[in-house]
Amino acid sequence: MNQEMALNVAGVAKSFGSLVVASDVHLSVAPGERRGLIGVNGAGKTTLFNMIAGELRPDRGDIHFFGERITRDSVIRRTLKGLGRTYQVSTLVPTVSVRENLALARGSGRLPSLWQPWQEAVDDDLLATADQLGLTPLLDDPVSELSHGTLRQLELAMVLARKPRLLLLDEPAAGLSRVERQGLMDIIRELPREVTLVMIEHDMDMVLELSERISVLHHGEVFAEGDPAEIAAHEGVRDIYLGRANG
Amino acid sequence: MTTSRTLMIGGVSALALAAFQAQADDTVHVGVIGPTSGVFSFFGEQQRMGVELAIEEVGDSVAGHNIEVTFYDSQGDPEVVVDRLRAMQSRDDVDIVVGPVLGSTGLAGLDWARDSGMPTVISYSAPEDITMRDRAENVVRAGWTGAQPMFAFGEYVVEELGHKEIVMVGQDYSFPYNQIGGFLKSFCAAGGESVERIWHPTGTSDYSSILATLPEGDAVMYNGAGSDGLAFFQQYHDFGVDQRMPLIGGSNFFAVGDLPEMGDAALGGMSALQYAEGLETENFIAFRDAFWEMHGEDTMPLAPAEHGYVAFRMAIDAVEEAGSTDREPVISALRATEMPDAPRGPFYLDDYGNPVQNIYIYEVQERDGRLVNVPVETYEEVSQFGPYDPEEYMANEPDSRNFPPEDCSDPFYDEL
Amino acid sequence: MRNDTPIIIGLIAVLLLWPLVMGDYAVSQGNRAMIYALMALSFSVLAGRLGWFSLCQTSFAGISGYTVAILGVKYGWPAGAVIPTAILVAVAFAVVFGLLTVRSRKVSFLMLTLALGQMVWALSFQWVDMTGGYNGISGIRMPMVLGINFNDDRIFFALLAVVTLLMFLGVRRLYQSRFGLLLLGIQENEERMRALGHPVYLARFVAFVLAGAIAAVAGVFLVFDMGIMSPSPLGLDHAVWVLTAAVLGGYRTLWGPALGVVILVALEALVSQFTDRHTMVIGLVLLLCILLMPRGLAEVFGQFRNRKAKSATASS
Repeated sequence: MNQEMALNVAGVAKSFGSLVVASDVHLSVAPGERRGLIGVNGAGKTTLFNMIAGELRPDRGDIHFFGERITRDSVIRRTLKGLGRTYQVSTLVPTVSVRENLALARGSGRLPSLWQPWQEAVDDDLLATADQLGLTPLLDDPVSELSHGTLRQLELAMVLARKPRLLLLDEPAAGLSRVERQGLMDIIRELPREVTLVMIEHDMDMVLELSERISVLHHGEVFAEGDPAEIAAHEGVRDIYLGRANG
Repeated sequence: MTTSRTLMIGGVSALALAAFQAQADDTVHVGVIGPTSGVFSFFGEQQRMGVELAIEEVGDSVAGHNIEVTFYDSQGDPEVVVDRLRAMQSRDDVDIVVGPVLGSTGLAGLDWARDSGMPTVISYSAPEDITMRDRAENVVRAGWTGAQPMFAFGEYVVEELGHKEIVMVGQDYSFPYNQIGGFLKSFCAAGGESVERIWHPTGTSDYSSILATLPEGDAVMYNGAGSDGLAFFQQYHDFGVDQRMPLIGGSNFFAVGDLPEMGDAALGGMSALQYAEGLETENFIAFRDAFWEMHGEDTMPLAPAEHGYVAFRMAIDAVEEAGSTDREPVISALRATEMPDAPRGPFYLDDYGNPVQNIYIYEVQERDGRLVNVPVETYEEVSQFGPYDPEEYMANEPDSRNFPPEDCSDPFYDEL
Repeated sequence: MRNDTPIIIGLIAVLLLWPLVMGDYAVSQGNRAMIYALMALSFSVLAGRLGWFSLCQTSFAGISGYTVAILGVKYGWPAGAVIPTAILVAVAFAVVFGLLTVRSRKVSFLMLTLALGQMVWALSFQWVDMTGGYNGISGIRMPMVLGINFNDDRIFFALLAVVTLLMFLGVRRLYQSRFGLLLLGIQENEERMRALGHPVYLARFVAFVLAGAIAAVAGVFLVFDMGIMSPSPLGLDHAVWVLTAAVLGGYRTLWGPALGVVILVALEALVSQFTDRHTMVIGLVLLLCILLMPRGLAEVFGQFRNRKAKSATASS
């Protein structure tokens, strides 16, 4: 069954000292699926992303990526296998331009050329991705001067440029204006089916509209899973969001 | 980047100006170099004070030339020395160099002087090869070699103190090697038995492991100076080793300003040098009183001061003898230096450019409320080769950590 | 990157004219400045691109210097063999030090390089049999090649100028390369560069070794310029001097470190003529400079130029 899944998280646990951030997480995402991941603050969503991306090592459990066990792989190896993610807090290189950031988007796992000018790393494909996200007029602006919304666009452009097989989006809409949010949703909707999507998002309207299935994380476990309609109707989930269920 | 270019050009013209500072032909310009800043500034300051006294005594002119003196700070750094010497030669038109003072800077000065041909009077710097295996025609020395005073001390320790087995603890570098080398040669010749050498890295502050495992002997010699020497001295007494074995020193142990910190425990400490501030000769008293008058009685003129004073006088005397600042006659006059009235006692230079002079065995005594090195025995006309033939001496390998051999029964000593 | 062609042309002009119009001492100061500019460049490659402040770059210069001195003087190797060996030995040290430091963060990197530098320094005066201890090794001379005496200050200057310029231009190319950009990215956000598929440790290691190689070349020139090798260039004060020059000139820029060295050397030459307290005077000047221009002179000039350019476009 693992072979068919783009992502399979099995029995993953992680704690920091006495603080349990994931106790027994199971999550299977099929290739091409759009999965929403919700839960209250502290439910362990970003921790789960960090474990999938390799920035955190789980204490227990296994993670498979298109049938391949990646639990012990480094961040860079997972990236090279086709795993991409964005961050809640923008983590770009603020001191240089948008174009230079884009030039860094596609690391190959090998040392980049010491001789080739960095400009040559920005090919038409990258420029097209940037254009799709409306970055063309801003290419030569320093990243430190970009608005929050544009930063999110650039984040997304950077990760899309790698053409990942699995894309982890960590609150992509946070802090965006209504218009920007609409644009973002259009882009996500238009992503090809080769890209499997897992998205953490607090904006319930957006999650319900974009996701095909939704997993609800609570106290470090998957509390409920189902299609948007099921989740929207789920009693327990409502309780969680109203703060009534305390385990 | 126009601004940066303007600034660079500004710097350029400033340097150019310095480069073209012309010197009039009727001056003799003496460049004095020593460590007047940094950890070794004691030596440089002593030299500077000695030179200042000599300047006052010599007056404004010599052989129709105005005397101009510039002091350069070596910072005790060979790299800085080379840079300052270059400045003397090509920027400041210096005619004669006095200094450098320290061992490493002396070698750097020699190396530079060999190429430049600059008449140079090295002052306190003591590596023997400056006036031996690496000597240069234009470089002479007003001071000494490390082995020189120890030739006398080795003999004295056997014959007068009766010590035949010595345990030496010393700083691990070439100057102490050279000191114990000279010591061993005469010590063995006089009937001594052995010197066990224990070396520690320079900058050691804790001697407990050395002191705890110190072998037995008739006496202990600390072959070094400075903060290492002070720490050793204090711990030697703290451990009570002084009750078991008397402590004697290498030439610099008691002689370069550490006596006030050592305190009364230093009383009776002995070593040897070509200078002792407890001298009572007429020439010395005159020098010391003039020095005190100029710099105050709190500052005792020690060997680096006298050597600076003497080196400067050698330089001026050579110009007077030569009648000009032309290098060749100045160098031959320098090499023929004889100074019967030097504060330390009479000396003349040997064929290799190093003084042949009195060596004083001195003992730390109290005089007028201060600790002073008082001569108790004088060995006259000691050369840098001791009693040995210069060519044969130089054919031997230079002294090192393990050379000459520590056991006096070694065949090496039969052949000497 | 800003267009720095005028700087390069100006620099070539100065380097061409300097030995022709200046006095001997100024030429020797020029040599010293270029040697230390290379060390400051070596420092700035790490500080400016990676945010890594190294206190052991002068140690690599010292290691290559000692190798030249030991092999050339003690073992009598020909210069043609000594020079490449010296650079290789220093690079080998850089490889080892690089492996030790590559995972360290900013402050621990500084402390590690301090410790490593001090170890090399201690070795230089305690390994007396090999290094000559405090006294060092003297009598190191450039060889005669094809009848050209490289010990002549002006010929030495010409050779050094060519090498220095080439190394700066090489680093310029490096800064503009994909690798150079990655180093900046690593300085800002190491984790992110990893997530973008870049080998962070390898890139830092390569940068460290390259910087070590630049310092190694500086060390070869240093020892031939001085004619002696002693522990002093390996001391902490020299490392701090180089750091100061780079910070003063602007270690984030290519030419800043050279500018800083030129200013420091000129300041020292001028001030030490007038007072023994030159270290204090220079210290004061530096304090003011760093307080007023924490990003270094070169960046201040750069901003000034940008502002002028901006106001020019605005008015047109």
